[in-house]
Order: sequence, then structure tokens, then C-alpha cells
Amino acid sequence: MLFNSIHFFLFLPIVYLLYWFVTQKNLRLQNLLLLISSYYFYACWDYRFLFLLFFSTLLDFYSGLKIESAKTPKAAKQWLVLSIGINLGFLGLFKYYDFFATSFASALSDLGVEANPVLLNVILPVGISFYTFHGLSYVLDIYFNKIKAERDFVEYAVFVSFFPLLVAGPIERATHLLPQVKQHRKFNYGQSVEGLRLILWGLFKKVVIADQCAIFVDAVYADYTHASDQQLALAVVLFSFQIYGDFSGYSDMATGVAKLFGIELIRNFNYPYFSRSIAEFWRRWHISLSSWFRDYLYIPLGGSRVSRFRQIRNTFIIFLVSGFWHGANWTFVVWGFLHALFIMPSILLATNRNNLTIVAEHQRLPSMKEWLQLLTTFFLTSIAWIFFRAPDLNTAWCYLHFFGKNQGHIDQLSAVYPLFASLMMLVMEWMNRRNAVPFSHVQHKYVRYFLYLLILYSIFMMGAFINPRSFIYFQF
Amino acid sequence: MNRFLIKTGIFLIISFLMLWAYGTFCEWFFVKTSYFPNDSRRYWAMKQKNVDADYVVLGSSRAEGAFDMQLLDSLTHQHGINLSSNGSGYVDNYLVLSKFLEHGNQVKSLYLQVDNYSLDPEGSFSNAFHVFNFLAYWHDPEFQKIIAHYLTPFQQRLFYALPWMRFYVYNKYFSPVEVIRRVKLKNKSGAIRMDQRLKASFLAPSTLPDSSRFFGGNGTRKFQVNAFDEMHLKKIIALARSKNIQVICFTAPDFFHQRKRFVNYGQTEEHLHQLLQQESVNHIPDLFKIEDSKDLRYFKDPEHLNRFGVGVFTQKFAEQVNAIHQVSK
Repeated sequence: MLFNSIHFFLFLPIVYLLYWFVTQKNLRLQNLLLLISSYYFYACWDYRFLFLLFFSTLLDFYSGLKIESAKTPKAAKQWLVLSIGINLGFLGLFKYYDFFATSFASALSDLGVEANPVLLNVILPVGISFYTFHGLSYVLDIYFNKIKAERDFVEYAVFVSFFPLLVAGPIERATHLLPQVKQHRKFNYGQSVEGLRLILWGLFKKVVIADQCAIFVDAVYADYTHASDQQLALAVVLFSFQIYGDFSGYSDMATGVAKLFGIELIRNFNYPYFSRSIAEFWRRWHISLSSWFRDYLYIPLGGSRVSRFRQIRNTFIIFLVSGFWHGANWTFVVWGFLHALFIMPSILLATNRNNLTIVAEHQRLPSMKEWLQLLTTFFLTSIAWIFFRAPDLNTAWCYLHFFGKNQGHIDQLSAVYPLFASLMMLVMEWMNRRNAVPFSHVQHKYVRYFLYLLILYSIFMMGAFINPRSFIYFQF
Repeated sequence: MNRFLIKTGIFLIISFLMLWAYGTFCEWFFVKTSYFPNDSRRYWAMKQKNVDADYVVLGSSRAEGAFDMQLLDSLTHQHGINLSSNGSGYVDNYLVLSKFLEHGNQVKSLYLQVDNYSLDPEGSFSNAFHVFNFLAYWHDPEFQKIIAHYLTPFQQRLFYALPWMRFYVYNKYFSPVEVIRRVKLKNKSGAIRMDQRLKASFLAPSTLPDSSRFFGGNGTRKFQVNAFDEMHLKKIIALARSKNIQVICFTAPDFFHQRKRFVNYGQTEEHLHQLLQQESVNHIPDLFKIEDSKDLRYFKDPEHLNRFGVGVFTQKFAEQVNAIHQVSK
């Protein structure tokens, strides 16, 4: 069930009305409703993997209890290792096994040894990377005494499988979400309005920006040998907007839907294309994942309070792992590597903690220096996106290689509309950059209503209602 | 809570009214034949009235670009028009022909393009039937029968309950931009000639097309004859016969290497041959010899002839047609 499908727009009001009108007085019933709805939501993707979700939930719930009640640190560690091992084992099996098997066979083949690896050829359970990380953060937090183990299975299961974030995040922490699940939720008018605004803006970014950019980008990547240089360059720029519109659009909708149920999620995007450096970009892009890796990988490795050499090593590790988290393909590893490379100057010059506030915070427009910084950051991230978008490394290299050499031109392919729409999005977000909720900068209520109608209308005019395009991050 | 629900409800009602208003406008605007876009051969064909033609050509883009109509007219001493359109299969062709014949147009012969690709329009080619091309004929009983095959039960229910919703479901083709474009095209009426004649000198091209398009296929494929499309091929023949139109089927040339990509090319060709025999129609098979089919000079891509190829094919086709007409006399 996609957020941009008719099915979801029937599902959501039904759950919403039951939530606030039928189960409102009983927290346990409310949580049960959320759990059943979430499992139904997941079953609409693939009911066969419901068992995996349930098993993962049960494992972490039980491990959490065992870690907390362990009499010795060794016993607690054993339960932690068991939980992490099984969780990562599932992730490895479903997501990475075939990749490693074929890569290993390919390496052997290069050495002249023929190998026929046994491949599983299983489909990737949707959202496995996200709910596995939910569970991992939970057991790790218990192990490090940050939280107490949850004793109510339903409440814990809601934390893991809450439908707005189940398939593509944000990756929540038990410290943030579990207390909200355990608390009686009261309807809040302001929160609900914010929720609707986020849903509308998220849907706009997905349907009007990402899906329209995708038409151009897909056509160019499918036939890049026949595209003109201009088309190759435009596809790179438009993919940057596509992935932003797609993923931040999803996150906005997830956050908005959660708000409708009185639950606040972690902010996942904070206007990343208004970043003045790569370090700032990573404080604004997929925040829940970057902070997860920071807290559970970078800091345990020593973080930045170690020798310069180890800091550099830690930075490369975190970016390579982050790249690999996205998918079993060398393209993601190279994407992570490039970002590690791009961030290195600021690590070496110790400027990575600069630019902690939003650009041009007290001005209408950025200064010349800031313009240059913004464009450089956008350029670097866009180059890295080539590897993220390409199906394999060879395609990515060839794509870069063809710049300046192509003589062709793909006919009947216009970038005017997606560029215009992306520009509109940037303008709107620029004006709203000091706020977390869209449209907050528009003071006059009738102007705001007009904007809502305009955006709703553009969604209806641009949306693909027959075969809605899936979200890119669902594959991770 | 009530305040939130009431305000949300009001907003949804206003949104609904806004969508309804544009949808209703679409229902009025897009069904008017005067606003059918002149730059689409499909729409152009469907709005023709009182045409008296000796022959019409009907088929996909392979037929649309296979003939120099002026040359064919002069070689056959007849006057004809080409109703073929890019991306159309037999279902599409059937609707176009039936609309064309409904409007008082007189035709003596139908040159119908038949090939393996059109028998498997979704699998082999991009000739899948598109409902949005014929939304103007929503209330037509013949069209209703066809869409029942293509729409999901949910879509059918939705379109019956809220007929204007179809213009949002196929929004890409019915946007305000499209309205403006069609209004502009209407004012240019007559400027775009769909029975256009190629004015090439038919000299062999000095440079060959990009061979990677011809040899760079990815793996083998298989035709799967679509029963619904096959049924509409028969319906086209039956419709023509009911109007006393002589049907002559032909197959436009394709690049030899392209045929090898389909593992059951010969088998499907044989199936088509038998079908045409059962229907007792004349069939002019691919007129290019094997060596011509391997010659890049004739093609602009593996399925379509270039201008040079068109000239050669038109001449060969005219000879065959003249022979058939001689026998008929």
C-alpha cells in the first residue's frame, strides 16, 4: 500500500476515525488498533513476510527483557550478541547473501577458479532495513542502560511496526517513540493541522516533483549513450531533486500521518539542499539514519575524540557502511566513499561543526560566498548521486565518461516542466527554511488556503493514479 | 476535534467542487471533434467527414511510415489516405476505422498492416491499447465493450460513479496545458496535413544509421498472441466487408536481425498466415528479400523504414496491388 495510492486514502480515514472515536478512551485498545492496522498495512505489501516482522519483534522484545534481567554483564552481552546476530543475520540473508556470493564467485573467476555459487534469489522483505534498525537501537539502548526494557509486548510491537514509518523510516529510537506509545494521546488541533500540511506537501514533493523528474531521469539513464550532454547534465540535476522529493516527501507524509495519531516522529530532513558543506548536508539529509550510525557506530569507534588517523578511518567506515546499508551493490559503496572523500577537507580542517544554523538565517537571500558554497555542495552531492542512481558501476563510469562526448539527442524528452516544478519547490522551501512544518511562513490564512488548493490541484493533475510509482527507499 | 473535522470537511468539499468543475469542463471540451488535435493522426482520422478515397492504409507506425502516399497514388492511379498511427494495435485500428466509416466516408479498398508485432502489442512493441486516446467516445457502446477488457473493476465503478474522474486518472493527457494546446491547434486548422506526402528524393542515405540500435538487442523474446487483439483483427476485416470494402493485408519490412530476437517469429508468422487464409483475404507478405532486410540503408530503426526504404517498398507494393486489382477486374 503506497502513501500515494487510492488504497491508502481509504485506509487512513478508517483507521483515523476508529482511533479517535472508537478506541480513544482505552490506550490498550488504541495501541491494538495501531498494531493491527500496521500489520494489515504491511500485509498489503507481502503478507508472507509478516512472520519475519513478528519474529524480529518478538526476538528483540525477549532479548531486551533478558539483557535487563541478566545477572552478569557477560550474560547481558550474550543476549545482546544473540539479538544483533540474528537481526543482522536476517538482514544479511535477505539483502546481502546473493550479492556476496556472486561477488565472491566473480573474484574467484578473475583468479581463474570457476565457482557456481548457490543463490537464494529471494525477494527483499520491504522495510527490513528499517525495522531491523529499530530493534537494534532498542536492545543496544537497554544494554547501555539508556532505557528500561519494555514489558508490554503490544506497546513494543507498535514501536517497531507503527505503519507510517514501517517501510521507509524515519528510523525511530525507543527513547523517543516508546514513551509516546505508552502515553495516553489527546487530540491536538495544531498538531493535526501540521500533520495535514505535511501530508499535502509530502504528496506534492512525491507526485509533482519526484515522479515528474523520474520520467526524464529514467529515459536518460536507459539510453545515456544516445543522450546529448545537456540531457546528461539535466538528468543528474533532476535526479537530485527526484531523490529528495521522493524520500523527503515520504518522510513528510510519515511524519504527518503520525501527527494525525498524536505521535511525533524524528525529523528526517531539514532542507539538505540549503547546505553550505557536505558536513552540513549530512546533518540535514536522512537525519535518523546518520544519527543512528553516529550513536551506534561512530561514537563506539571513538568518534572524533581520537587521533586524526582514527578519525579519518571512522569517517570512512561510517560512510561506507551507510552506503552499503542502502543496498547490496557496489554503486552504493562508491556513493558512500565519495561522500567520505568530500567531507574529508572539513574533517582535516576541523570545520565540520561550522554552519550549524540555517543559511542566511537573518537575511532574505544568501551572500555571494554562501551561494558559492550552496552550489558547490549541490554539485558534489549530485555527482555522487550518479553512482546511487546507476544500476551498476559500469553504467555510472560510462555515464560520466560520455559527458562531453555525446553527439546524440533523445527526442520528445522535455525537462522544462520538472525543472520548473523543482524550482517552485526550492522557492517554497527557501521561504520556509526557518520552520519545520510547511506553509508556516505564510501568515495570511486565505493565501495559505489558496496554496493548499493549488497544490492539491497540481497533485490531481500530475499524480499517476493507475500505476503509482513506488518510493525509491522502499527497496532498501 | 469537531473544529478540525469540520474545517477539513469544508476544505475537502471545496477541493471536490474545484475538481468537479474542471472535470465537467473536460467532459464538454475533450469530446468535441472540433478540438481534436490536428497533430495526431489518430484524432485526425476519427474526425474526417465525407471523404471519398479509393483506399485507406491502416496499421501501426510501421504502416504509417511505410508509404510515400503521393508515389503510391501515382503508381496505382488511385487516391488514398493513411489512417495509421504511431503506437496503435488492432483494437485501436478497429475503433479508428469504425469512427472513420461512421462519418459518411467512402472507401473502396483497405490496405491493412498485419504482422507478428501487432498480434502481441503489449509484449513485443509499445502498441498497447490506451483508453485515454478514445475517452471522447466514452458513451459509445463499442468502446464500452472494449474498456471492460482494459479497466479494472475499481476503475470501471469509479468512472461510472464519477464520469469526470477519468480525466484525472488520465491527467497527463487532459491538463489545462493540453486544453490551451488544442485551442491553438484548432486555429491552425488545415495547417497540418495528416495525409502528408513524403517529398524525399529516395537517394540512398550517404551515412548509415547508428548500428547499435539494430544489433544491440538485449536477449531473446517471445511473441504471445493476444486473443483480444486477434479478435479485433477479425473485426476490422468483418467491418470492412460489411461496407463492401476490399481488404488487402500487407506486412511492412523489418530488419532481419530483429526477427532473430524473437524465438517464435516463424511460428507466429505461420499462425497469422493461417488466420488470414481462414478469413480469405489477400496478403502481400514482406516484399523485401532477405538481403534487403539485412541492409541498413533501408531502415531508420529495426522496425521502421527510412525514406529510402519507403520509396523502394512503395514501388514494390504498388506492383503487387496493381496485380491484385487486375485479377479482381
